[in-house]
Amino acid sequence: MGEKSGIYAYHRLSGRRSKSRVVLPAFSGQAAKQLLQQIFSMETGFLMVLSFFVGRAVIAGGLIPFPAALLAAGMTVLGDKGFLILIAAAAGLTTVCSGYTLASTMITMVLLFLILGRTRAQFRQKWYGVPILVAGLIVGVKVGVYSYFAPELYNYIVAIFEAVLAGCATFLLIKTLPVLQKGSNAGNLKKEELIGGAVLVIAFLTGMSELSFQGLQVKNVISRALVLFAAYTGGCGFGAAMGTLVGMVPSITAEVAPGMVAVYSFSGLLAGMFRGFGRIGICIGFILGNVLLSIYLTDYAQLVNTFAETVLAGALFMTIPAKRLFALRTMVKNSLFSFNSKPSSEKRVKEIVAGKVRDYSRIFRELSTAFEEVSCDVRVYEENNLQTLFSGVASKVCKGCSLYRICWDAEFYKTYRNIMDMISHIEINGRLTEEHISPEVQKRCSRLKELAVTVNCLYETYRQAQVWQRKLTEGRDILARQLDGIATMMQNLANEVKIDIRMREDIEAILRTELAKAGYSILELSVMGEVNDQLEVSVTFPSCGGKAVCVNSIKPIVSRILSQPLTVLNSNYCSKKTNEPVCEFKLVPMRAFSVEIGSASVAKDSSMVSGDNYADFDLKDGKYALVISDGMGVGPKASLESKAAIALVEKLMEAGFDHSVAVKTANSILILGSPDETITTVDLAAINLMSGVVEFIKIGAVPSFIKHGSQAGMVRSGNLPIGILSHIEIDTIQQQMNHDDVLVMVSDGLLGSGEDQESETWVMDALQNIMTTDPQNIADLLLNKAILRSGGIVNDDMTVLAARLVSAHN
Amino acid sequence: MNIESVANRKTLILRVSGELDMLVADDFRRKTDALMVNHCSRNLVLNLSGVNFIDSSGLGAILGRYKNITMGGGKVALVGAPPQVKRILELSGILRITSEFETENDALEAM
Repeated sequence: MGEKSGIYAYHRLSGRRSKSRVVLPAFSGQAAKQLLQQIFSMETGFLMVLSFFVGRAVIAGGLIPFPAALLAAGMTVLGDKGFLILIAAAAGLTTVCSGYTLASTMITMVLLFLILGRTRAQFRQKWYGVPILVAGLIVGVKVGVYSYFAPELYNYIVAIFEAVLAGCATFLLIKTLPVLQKGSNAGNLKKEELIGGAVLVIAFLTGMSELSFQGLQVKNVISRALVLFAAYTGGCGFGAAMGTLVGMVPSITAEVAPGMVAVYSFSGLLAGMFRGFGRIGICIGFILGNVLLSIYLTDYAQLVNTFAETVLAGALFMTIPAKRLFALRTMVKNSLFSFNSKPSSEKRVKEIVAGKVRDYSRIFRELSTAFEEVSCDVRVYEENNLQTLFSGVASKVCKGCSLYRICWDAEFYKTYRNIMDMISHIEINGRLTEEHISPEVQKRCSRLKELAVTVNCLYETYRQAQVWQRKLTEGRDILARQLDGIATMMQNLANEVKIDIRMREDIEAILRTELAKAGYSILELSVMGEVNDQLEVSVTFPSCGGKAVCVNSIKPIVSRILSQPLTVLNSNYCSKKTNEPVCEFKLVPMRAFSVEIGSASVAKDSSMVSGDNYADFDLKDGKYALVISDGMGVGPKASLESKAAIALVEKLMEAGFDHSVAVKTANSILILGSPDETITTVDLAAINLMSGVVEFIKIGAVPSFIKHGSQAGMVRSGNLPIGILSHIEIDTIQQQMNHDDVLVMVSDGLLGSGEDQESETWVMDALQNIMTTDPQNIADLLLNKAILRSGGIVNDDMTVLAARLVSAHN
Repeated sequence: MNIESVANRKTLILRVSGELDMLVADDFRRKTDALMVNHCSRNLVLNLSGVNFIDSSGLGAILGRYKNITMGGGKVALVGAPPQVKRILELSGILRITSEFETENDALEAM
């Protein structure tokens, strides 16, 4: 019963609704009220006034293209406002023409209203649909009417002209009307929208001709107010342009008055010039221009009127609320000046790119947390493993036993506890034998020996499974940390993209010509200036073959032109690049210090391959890094290990990773890369070239030394070497260095050569006694001493890296 | 290098003497692993009082044992390293993660 009524209810409802649609159109009191509200709303009111005056617009003595065009555009874009536009435009039309002209235009508009009201969507699909419909209708109707009432060639030509004009106007108005609807939120206007707006203004003003009040023409007042507004928003240029536009209105209506164009545009120009003094200034400028030229070009008799119109326009302009005026001004300004504002679009692209990169970084961060969560969940695995152990005992030992049901069903918890006891016995004592099984089980079980062996065996498997599970977890952990690292790097990248880097083309051109004058053929040159004016000059240059042209010749020229001391970034790469045909280098503002490097190394038993490797490189943030890495053992394998470690650390640090993150990441990668137990030491020093502070990270590395005059200090720290343990703690040590101080880093072979306890002391002594501060000399001297100490035999790979800090001001 | 072993319940005591360098590191690794398995030991006490030289390979071997044993839930202790060995152990950071004792008994008690 209930179901039935439900179905009926549905039918009843639908029947009623469809009926009410037919019988009750919007004639109820409420609907009428709504209609009235709609008509008298701000927007509709404006639209109706506009339509009325556009309906009155007759150009060139007899063409009436605008009413039909406005109606078509209105119906296409604004939809339900069609009827209102039709009424208003028709009303306007009746005030300006009569007879068969009025009739033909009215018929055209009514037809247009009916056709578009029914089949709007079909014409809207293509941009030319509605305009062609309008043109076609006008030609069809008007030629038909004229052929009956006034069959003259002139009339036919007028009809065709009107049709073409109306088609064009329709196209432009379709683009413009939505802007009016959106009001001040329209954003930047496109070209068609602006032209359409101009057409609308002309049509509106034309429709106002002949409308006067006490000898003052309303059209003139509005025109002048528009010019004032234009001068206010866009200055001289826009004011003059608007002046020209409204000045043309009288000419297109009927009378030919080119003088008005001059009057209006000149006044707009003057008004724009006075823009600096605010609204009043603009009014004064406008009145000046208007009155001056009017004296020349028009009758003296009309001067009173002209003056009165101008003053009225000024008053109208002054009464616009400041807030609204400002909003309009920004809108027009944005649209006018958006055509040639490239930087803003570039900035947008940058912002979008940065946002995208940041999104990716977020994805990596999420992945990282996901992996971390998974790897935390170890307990579940352990429980599972324990279950396997129990079911293993049940199936391997007890299956087929007559007491199986008692042990594993009736007294399951007792059995469980007994086996747990056995496991804890194994954990404590290492092995389980028959005697250690609890008396309770001994009494009942007939397979004691098998039980003991199986529990031992399964426990071993359980332990192994645990170990592997942990390894797996560790791997996931490493992956999680790596993903996190990538996320951080991408975040930094996003920030870097957002930094406002400006290419300084002006400086580039000067540098190019100056360098060409000095005889250097530069292949490529670019100057980047960040906001804080730190210029960075990148130069591509045919290789000089190691003559250091970059440092000796180009740097001084560029420094002189920019009147700023510069330094060559990574100048030490030059000699390494001698084989390449071109050389690229960067000039950056000089730092407080520069670094001079010396190095010496020897492999065990004077073999060719040393297990030690070292590198020195510039970092982006004004630091200079020195790294020594010692692979476990000697020979090619150790060399590969340490080389890999150094390459990883170098690349990570150049990519912008923090020192300790770089070392940690290198560690994880080394662990993943080789299953063997190979350890690698990393000895890293990052010298801040602005402050002279050195930051040390020592991973399983021997102490480093700092020579300060005839004193020597030692920097030591004990961090575990990388490559085995996945969790490493990293301490950093900081030391201040000054001009002419020498930092000496060594590999353990150099210290371990003697068997005495304090082998660092000889290096300290030697450094105190060495007179020179030349880094290369120091490195050679120390290496020779070490070989002498071990009796001329090289037991291990030895490396010395020395760096002297040189102040830029000395 | 010589290795002497004593099993005490689940702790294995290894007395190493001679040089612990790259020539013997592999040997040390294999022998230790085999002894741990044979005695079903969980913990390891390394008596280094007889070691006169240790290099990075030796450190690597000790670190590797440390890693395996701690993964299985066991502990590693070092006993009686002579000064020159202790210095290297300190620099390498091993003493930060393992405990060091004067005598084997002290180590066994702490296990």
